[in-house]
Amino acid sequence: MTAEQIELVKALLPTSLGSEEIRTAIAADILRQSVFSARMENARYLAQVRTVCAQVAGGGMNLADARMVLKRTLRNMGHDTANARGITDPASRRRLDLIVKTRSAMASNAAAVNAQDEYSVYAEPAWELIRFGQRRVPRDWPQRWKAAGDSVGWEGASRDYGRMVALKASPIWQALGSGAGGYRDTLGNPYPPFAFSSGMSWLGVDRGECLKMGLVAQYEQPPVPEKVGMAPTEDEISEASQRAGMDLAGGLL
Amino acid sequence: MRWTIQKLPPYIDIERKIQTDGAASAAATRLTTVVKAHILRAAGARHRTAARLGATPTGHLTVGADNTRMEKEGGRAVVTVPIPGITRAFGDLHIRPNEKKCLTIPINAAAYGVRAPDLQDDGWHLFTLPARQGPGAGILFGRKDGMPSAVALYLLRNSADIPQDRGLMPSDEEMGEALAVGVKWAIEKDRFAS
Repeated sequence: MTAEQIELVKALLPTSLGSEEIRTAIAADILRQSVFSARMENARYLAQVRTVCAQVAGGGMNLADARMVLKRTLRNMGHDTANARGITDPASRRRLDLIVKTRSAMASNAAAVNAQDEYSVYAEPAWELIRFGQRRVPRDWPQRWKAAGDSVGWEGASRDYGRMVALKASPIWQALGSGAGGYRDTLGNPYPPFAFSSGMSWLGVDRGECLKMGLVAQYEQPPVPEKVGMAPTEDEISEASQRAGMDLAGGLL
Repeated sequence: MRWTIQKLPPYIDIERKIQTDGAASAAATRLTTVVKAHILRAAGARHRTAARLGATPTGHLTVGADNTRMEKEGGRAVVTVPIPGITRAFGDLHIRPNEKKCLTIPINAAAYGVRAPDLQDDGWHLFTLPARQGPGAGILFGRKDGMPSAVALYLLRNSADIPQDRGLMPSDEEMGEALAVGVKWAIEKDRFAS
C-alpha cells in the first residue's frame, strides 16, 4: 500500500463539524482515515484535496502549485478566493498549507508504518520523536511524551535518556496521537503529525543505539507495529457514527 | 526520486546468498533514515535565496524530508524522496516550463514561494514588460493599492540551468554505509534472532 493509494481509497466524509467537534464526536479510526476540511461539505473539493495531497506525498507537486490548484477549485465552486485571510478561510494560504502539509505527512508516515516488517524493525526497532520544523511558540513535547508514557506504563519507550524514543510497536505512539494528558489539538494517529502544525516528526533509531538504551536485548526480535487501518468500510463508519450518536450515512458519497 | 533496493551496490562486499527480500528491507530502512536526517540538516543550511530576498523560507526540503519513506511494492523495498528537483543532488538541472508559458523566478520577497495567481488573489495588479535583449522573456511587475509604484516580482525565463548541489543528499559513502548496516542486521537476524 503506497502513500498515494492510501490517499486515493480514503472515503470522503463531508461534514459541517469543526475540527475539535470531529475529533471528539467521530471515532478516531474515521478521523485519521478520512480527508477532512473543517466546515467544508463539498465533496468535489475534498476529492481535489485528496488528489493534490497524494501528489505532494509522491513528490509530483510542490506546495505552491498545490495551493494554486486548490484555490482554482474553490473559485470554480464560486468561493471568493481574493484576499482570503486566517486559518478559518478555506482559501487562505495558511489554511491550504496546513491541509496539504498535514495530509501529505499523514499519508507518508502511515505508509511508512505499513511498510514495516520483521527485518526493518530488527534493523531499526524504534522511532525517535524529533523536531522537523521550527515554531515561534513550540509546544511542550517532552511534557506530552511524559504524559503519553505514563498513560501506557512506558511500555517499549525510553524515559531515561532525555530523548523521546520508543519501539515502533509501543503503545506510546497512539497515546501521543490521542492527546494523552488532556491535549485537544491531536489528530488521533499513531504516527506523525501527532498534532496540527506541530513541526514534529520521527526518525528511525538504529538497533545498535536501541541496544545501548535497553529497548531491545541482543538478538531479540522486536514486534512489528500493527498496520494502520485501511479505508473504513460502510459498516465501520456506521458503527463509529452510532457510537458518536450521529447519523453520517446520509452525507457519505 | 525513488530507489528500488534489489541489488546492493558493488562496493558492499557481501555473500550473494543474503541478497534476500529481508536484507533489502533492512537496508532500505537504514537508507531511508540516513537520507531523511541528511535532508533535514541540509534544509537548515539552504536559505540563501530567501535570505537574499528577505523572504520566509518555503520549507519544501523539510516537508520533503518528512515525506521521505520506505515502501514495499511487489516484494521490493522502495525508498521514495518526494522532493521536486532532488535529482539536482546528482547533476545539473535544466528546467523548462511545462504548462505555463515561461518560468517565473522570484526577485522579490512577496513573490518567493508564491505563484503569480496567488498574488493576484492577494490584491496585486500584475503586468509584464517584455525583454528587449538578453536571454530572458521579460519581467513581471506588480503593484498593490496604496503602493507608490510597482515593483519587480519575477524574472520571466524560457528555461533555467541550476547547478548540481551534491550536498542535498548523503554522500555515496554514507549511503553505502547505511545499506551495509542494514544488511548486517539482516544477516544477524537470520542467524541468531529468536
